Amino acid sequence: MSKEEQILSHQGHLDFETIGHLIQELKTKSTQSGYSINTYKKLLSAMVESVENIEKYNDNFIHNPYLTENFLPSLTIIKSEDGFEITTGNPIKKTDVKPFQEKIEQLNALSKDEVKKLYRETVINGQFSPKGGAGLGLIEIIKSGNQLNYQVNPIDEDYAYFIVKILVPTETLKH
Amino acid sequence: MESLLVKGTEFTPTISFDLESSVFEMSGISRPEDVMGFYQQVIDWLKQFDEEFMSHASQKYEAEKITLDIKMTYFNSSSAKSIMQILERFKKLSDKGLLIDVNFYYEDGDDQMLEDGEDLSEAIELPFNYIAVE
Repeated sequence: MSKEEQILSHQGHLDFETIGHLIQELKTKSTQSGYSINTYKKLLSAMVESVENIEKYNDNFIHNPYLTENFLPSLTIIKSEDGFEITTGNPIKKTDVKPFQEKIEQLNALSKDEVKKLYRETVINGQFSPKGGAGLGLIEIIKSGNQLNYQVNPIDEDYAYFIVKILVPTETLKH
Repeated sequence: MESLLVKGTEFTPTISFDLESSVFEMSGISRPEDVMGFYQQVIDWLKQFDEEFMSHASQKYEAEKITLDIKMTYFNSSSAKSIMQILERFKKLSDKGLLIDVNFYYEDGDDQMLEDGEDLSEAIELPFNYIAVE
């Protein structure tokens, strides 16, 4: 029988201040549970990169009452036998789904060395987006040895609920 | 020109570039709400340093070497881009003859931070000294 423990759960808007509260919550939980610095930092990195990605897409749905009432962004972190599962969800425009899918599939097809090379190239040559993103978030998640998957749940003709699942595997948390 | 001192906050690092001691330090957490806005002051200061001390024969920086101490406890990926831009400025200074010793500090056991440092060092092609702290 698998044993799962919910570490953290949030449903609601993800803005800069809220992300700060989630970081504090994760830190408190990590301290209480006696997680190693290695575990805490890997969880922190994966969580922040995924929620900051959602934050940058807030404008796409924040003025849509139907979406903000029924399809709020979400974050859960669950500890399981396999490691820690970080799951986020947020409404995105259907036109943004394919680029996201392609990016995740591209990253999942790369070897560890190829991911590092892509990270180096992007950190040198990448440009900041108008929202302050550097295009490194998903690469950072994969580079850390995590597994990245997604699920797309259609909402209506314009929007879908995009779920990203990150597994921080037990074997990367060796101490 | 004056040394650069930017006090750290819950979201932004302390930046202390001391012209007298030649110790240039970046420490703390980096998750600025406006990452480009925050780091522009550092980039501008380094541009000014370059113009004043490295680009004109008449005025030289007295010290032969500077020590760059990177003591970050966490930085998000957007900050990594800005830190890379700062490292590029240091690399230019190095190419112009200024010796730069880069010390990258990380908490013992923090593989994530150590890897991030190694990635930055490889990207910028500047060797780092990696120092684990308890």
